[in-house]
Amino acid sequence: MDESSVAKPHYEINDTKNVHLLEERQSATFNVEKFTQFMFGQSDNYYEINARREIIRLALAHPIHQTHLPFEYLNADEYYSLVIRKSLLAIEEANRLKITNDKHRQWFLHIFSSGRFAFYIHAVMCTYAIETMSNEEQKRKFLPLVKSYRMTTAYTQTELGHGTDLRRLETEAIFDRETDSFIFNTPTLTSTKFWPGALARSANYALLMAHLYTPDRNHPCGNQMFLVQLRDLDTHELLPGVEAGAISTRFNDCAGDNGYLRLTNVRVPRTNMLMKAAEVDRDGNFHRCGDARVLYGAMVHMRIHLSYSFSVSLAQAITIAMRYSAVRFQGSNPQGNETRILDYPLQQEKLVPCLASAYAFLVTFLNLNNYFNDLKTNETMFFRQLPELHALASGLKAYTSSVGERLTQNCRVSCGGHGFLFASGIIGIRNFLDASSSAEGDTVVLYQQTARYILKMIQRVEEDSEKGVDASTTYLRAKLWSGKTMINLDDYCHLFESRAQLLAKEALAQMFESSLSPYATFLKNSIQLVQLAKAHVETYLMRSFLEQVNKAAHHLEFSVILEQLFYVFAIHTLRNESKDFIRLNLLTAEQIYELENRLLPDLYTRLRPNLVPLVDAFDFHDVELDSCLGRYDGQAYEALMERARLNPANQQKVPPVWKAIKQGTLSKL
Amino acid sequence: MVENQDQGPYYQINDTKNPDLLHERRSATFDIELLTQFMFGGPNSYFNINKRRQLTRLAYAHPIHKTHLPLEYLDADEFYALLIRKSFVAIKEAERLNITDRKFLGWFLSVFTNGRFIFGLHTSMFLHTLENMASDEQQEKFLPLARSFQIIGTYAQTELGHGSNVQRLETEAVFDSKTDTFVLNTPTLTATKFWPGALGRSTNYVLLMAQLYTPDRSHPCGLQMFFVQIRDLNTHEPLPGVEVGEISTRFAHEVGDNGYLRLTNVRIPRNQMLMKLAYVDEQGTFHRLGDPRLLYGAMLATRVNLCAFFSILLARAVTIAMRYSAVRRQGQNPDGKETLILDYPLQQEKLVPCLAATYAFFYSFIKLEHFRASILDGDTILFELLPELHAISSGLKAYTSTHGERWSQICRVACGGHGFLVASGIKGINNMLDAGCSYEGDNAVLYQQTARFLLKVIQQLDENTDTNPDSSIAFLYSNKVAPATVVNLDDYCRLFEARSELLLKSMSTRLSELSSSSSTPYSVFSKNSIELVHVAKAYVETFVLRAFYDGVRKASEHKELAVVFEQLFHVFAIDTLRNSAADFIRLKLLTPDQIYHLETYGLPDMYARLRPNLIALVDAFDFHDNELNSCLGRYDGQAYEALMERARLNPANRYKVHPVWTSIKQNAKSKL
Repeated sequence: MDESSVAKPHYEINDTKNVHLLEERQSATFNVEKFTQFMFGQSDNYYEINARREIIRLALAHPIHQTHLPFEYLNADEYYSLVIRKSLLAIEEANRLKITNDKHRQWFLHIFSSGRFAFYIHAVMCTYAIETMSNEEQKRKFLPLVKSYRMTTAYTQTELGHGTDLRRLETEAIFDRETDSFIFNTPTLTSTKFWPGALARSANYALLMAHLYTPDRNHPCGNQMFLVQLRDLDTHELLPGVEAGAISTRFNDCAGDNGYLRLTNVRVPRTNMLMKAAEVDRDGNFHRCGDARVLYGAMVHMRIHLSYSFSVSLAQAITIAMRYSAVRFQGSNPQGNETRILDYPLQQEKLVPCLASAYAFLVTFLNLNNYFNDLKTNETMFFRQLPELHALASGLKAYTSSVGERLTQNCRVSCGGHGFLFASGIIGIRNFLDASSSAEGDTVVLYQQTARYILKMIQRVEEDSEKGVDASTTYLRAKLWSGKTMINLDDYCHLFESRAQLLAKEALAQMFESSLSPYATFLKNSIQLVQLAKAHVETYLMRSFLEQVNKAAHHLEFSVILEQLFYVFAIHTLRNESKDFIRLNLLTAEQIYELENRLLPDLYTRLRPNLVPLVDAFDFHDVELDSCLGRYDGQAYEALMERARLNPANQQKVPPVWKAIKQGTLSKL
Repeated sequence: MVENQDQGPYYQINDTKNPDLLHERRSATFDIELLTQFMFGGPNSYFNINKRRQLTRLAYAHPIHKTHLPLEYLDADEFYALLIRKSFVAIKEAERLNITDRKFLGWFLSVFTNGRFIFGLHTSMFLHTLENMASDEQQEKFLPLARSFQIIGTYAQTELGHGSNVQRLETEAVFDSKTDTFVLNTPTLTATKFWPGALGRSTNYVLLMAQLYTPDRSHPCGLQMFFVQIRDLNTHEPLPGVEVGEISTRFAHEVGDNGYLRLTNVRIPRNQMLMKLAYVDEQGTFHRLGDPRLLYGAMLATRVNLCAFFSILLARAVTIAMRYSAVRRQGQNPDGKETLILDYPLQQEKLVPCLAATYAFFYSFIKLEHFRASILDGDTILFELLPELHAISSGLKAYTSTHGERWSQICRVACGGHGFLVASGIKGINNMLDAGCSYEGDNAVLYQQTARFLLKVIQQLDENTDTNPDSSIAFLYSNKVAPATVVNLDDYCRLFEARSELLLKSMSTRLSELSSSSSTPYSVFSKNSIELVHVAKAYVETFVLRAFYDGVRKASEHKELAVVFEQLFHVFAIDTLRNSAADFIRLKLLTPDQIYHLETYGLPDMYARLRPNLIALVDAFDFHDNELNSCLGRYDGQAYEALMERARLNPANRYKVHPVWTSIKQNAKSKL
């Protein structure tokens, strides 16, 4: 595969069929393709748009995609079968096409399986975890199996009764010296493993977290990770002692096949405990050997990766809503002409802040990911900065999922009733973001982790102003904002940083003043601490966005627009937290009123000619959006009608139940 | 109807199996049944709880409910067939039990069909429109058929290209004097009727809204309603010229069978235009007869009822989330004990304001319904009060759906991952409230209608006019100054009223300044629409707060209830206030420090005081477990047992090895 050259965009302006959408595209004040290349195109840019385009083309060229109905029209069994077939075929195709780069391979698998790759968690999370947590011998043994998908794993941690607090997990692994194995049990109802993706019917192994007891039942050694075989590799049948199945359906099938697992005296060889950080020897003695922080690093990596998919999801939702708003007309002006809904200030109020946020999220992920990768090259530095990374990754994951969910809901509402159809594509995205604000760390739990870190940092600053702070918290010792009005972008960053600093100091003071225990004090102030964490994340978002604007300094046509988007994001975020800014005497209520009701609408007007081009620049393929409303060509109504006609419900002239009624054969019960 | 049915609560405290939940129930400081009867009881109450209990018991007693899997496990065809079957059985049962009162009948049909009565639009909009828009002759002819379900209809208005702006509908009815018929067509793609419930596969008639042209194609006479057969009554096949089907599946099956309809030269007799308010004679001449505002009344009644529906939905969501939070433990304190999640301040911050908002919603619906009943009573309509009813019902519909959606989402999040299961019951509620933000008037459009009314009022304001003190706009005529500090409940109401008045007045001034310059009123309104929506919201909040306040005052005869209601009122008022803090500060009604104190000390203090009663306050909503259909929110607290049982029922688990894997493994073998 050629990965270096510039690939052509999926669509050209001439592909636009709707005249209004064409108008929108012609009104752009910048070159969309050049902007896409600038934002997402460079070879060191994580988004690697050119490679991505190639991969999408390769994935979508396969004939299997023409063989099935839209997913919402399949019944549960058909749906599952198709997902499995596509996923396995995707792996075969990736091998045949020699797509070896990890990221490119994941993209390919994802696109090929219509965003529903059955072994997504295996590929993204488990493989990384097995790599980081195995000793050398285990790596040699397991990795070839894992990477070739002969061993497919489900990340099996959460239990029916426990998710957030891992210390309370109840699944147990007891060492049995005689057979040199661990005996696994889920001893209570609440210890049932519940939720893991691909666990129900797909994975043949569980990467299972359990409480280790060794050398015997009386010696607890904490949570460890084990590879536990669930299914026979030849027949796919469950092994003795294993009960697994699908849990009650989730609303969003996209990740799918979430399962439950109960184990009764299942034996696993001792060497299937992942032993990089701790090991159990032949006599059952427990030794800590590595740095337990490797686990921590894997988790941080996962959270950063998640904020990537959340940002991309939000960008997809806004692409759909923006394009549809340029196609849909409603209401009439005094001249009797209908109005394009994108021209209504109330529609802009819904969509423009959402667009600006999508850009903010995408560039912030990039910034954090680059930071993570730079640090990874030096293990000492990496471990030193791990708390900072953890605070940022947790906070950003919480922020992008929960705020993204609300913004996506705005997109749904802005599309009116049609937005509520499965075929809009938005409902699926919203459900994904909604689920994500609980999965992999509950939002408020993560924010509290971020807050803990900030408290430590501010304490360090207060105790000794010379002591070093991490790059993302230098604002804690910066001079407070004292300007009268904000003039440039940096002023806004400064404003947010002052707010975070003041909130941090206030929180620290409350911790000191309290006569309660540290636990009780933290609990009592948890609502404000969550607010502090958000404030920290917002400083990071603002700084990351600012850096991106600065990068565009040599492209005037881009920097103008990025500046406008930055202002929208800043003012929108600020007005949502106006209470803080007023109370901390950073701004007056009058100033905020002016920003919100004068400057913001003014920015909408200035951005107006570029709104559609700015979503086009995200460069999504129609197949990725899977939306009748958001198609590149603007044929929303045609697509809705076509999709409706495909509904299997319409293939029968008279539904069977009505035949039975009319023939008087309907069951009386 | 059988009158001696049990009217007592569905559950007793002894039905509680989970010890934590039992503990919660025992800590209540008031009698739950007293509260339930106080709020929802009595034959004059809209909710008429005792009657509702009877009907609910009767509905669930039927054996059909034991014959099927949970609905999320049915495939599309099974789901639809079950829905149709249950709907028909429900109708028969209602007849057998002689349930005739329209409201009670509606309840019974809805409860019997798990909230999915397929002919809901038939029994509401379709019948109602026939009764109000058909001539006496037409009523005589059509109503018996419709009431006996030989004719099953729906209401076909929205088109693929047009919803909010009805004037732009494209479906047309052209009079043909030769055959004395109308020729119906959906002449463009965007004219396709799209969305009507039960249209997809179920109904055989529609009430079709179309542009009338008479005496010929070149004479448009505006929108009229036509009575159009679309399926053969014997075979259920679509008639010639009719293309009808289901639209792309919606996420929530809750209403269901939404359809599309295309008509090509379909002819109907002239007398199938509904002719009470206008008619077309044999020569094709068009005549207006009645006051079209009569139609308006039906729309308003629908909006008012939606406010009750949204309140009930939210009450269900918070019942589920609150009970689950009293069962679920997570995290541990320094003594090594796990913490009940309801004890976390962050959990209370999610759920207590939501609970308070639910009570506020109920009280504002009660006040609104009272107002409606005083204006629209059968055929007598107090036309001069219609605009106010329109403004407040539009605003409250928008408010309760938007906020209900957000609150139910917070309930979802409060339940963690399990909240995301269909079996939690919350996702379905959230979907219904979400849909409610768009149907029967898009919320942004409705708020603007409310704003228009307010502008008119303020522009014609004469403070010497005598107004009814109960009116929603009475505060605009009063000279009371806003209180400087918030001490009692009335202070909150007056603060919100002062804010609403100040926002409205400054907006009105600005608009008149702007329109005196070169801009047209249309463009001035449009340009300021974001702020106008804000003005409308501020007004709705005064109404909600006043309604809640009235409710609290009514409770003064029951001390034990009044205390709790006051606490809920405080929570609702402070929570609403802090979300608009910038307004109150800018308008100099409160200082930033006052708001900070209310939020940071006042609210958590109220959470702590309400803590012993949180479960009792959701129990008082009096839902049957079947209505909640939730593993997490069961009365007995057996959340985990229920989740496990529900998972095991999943049809996906009937295979030892899923067929797709059997075939994959066999292929792998055959390749060897």
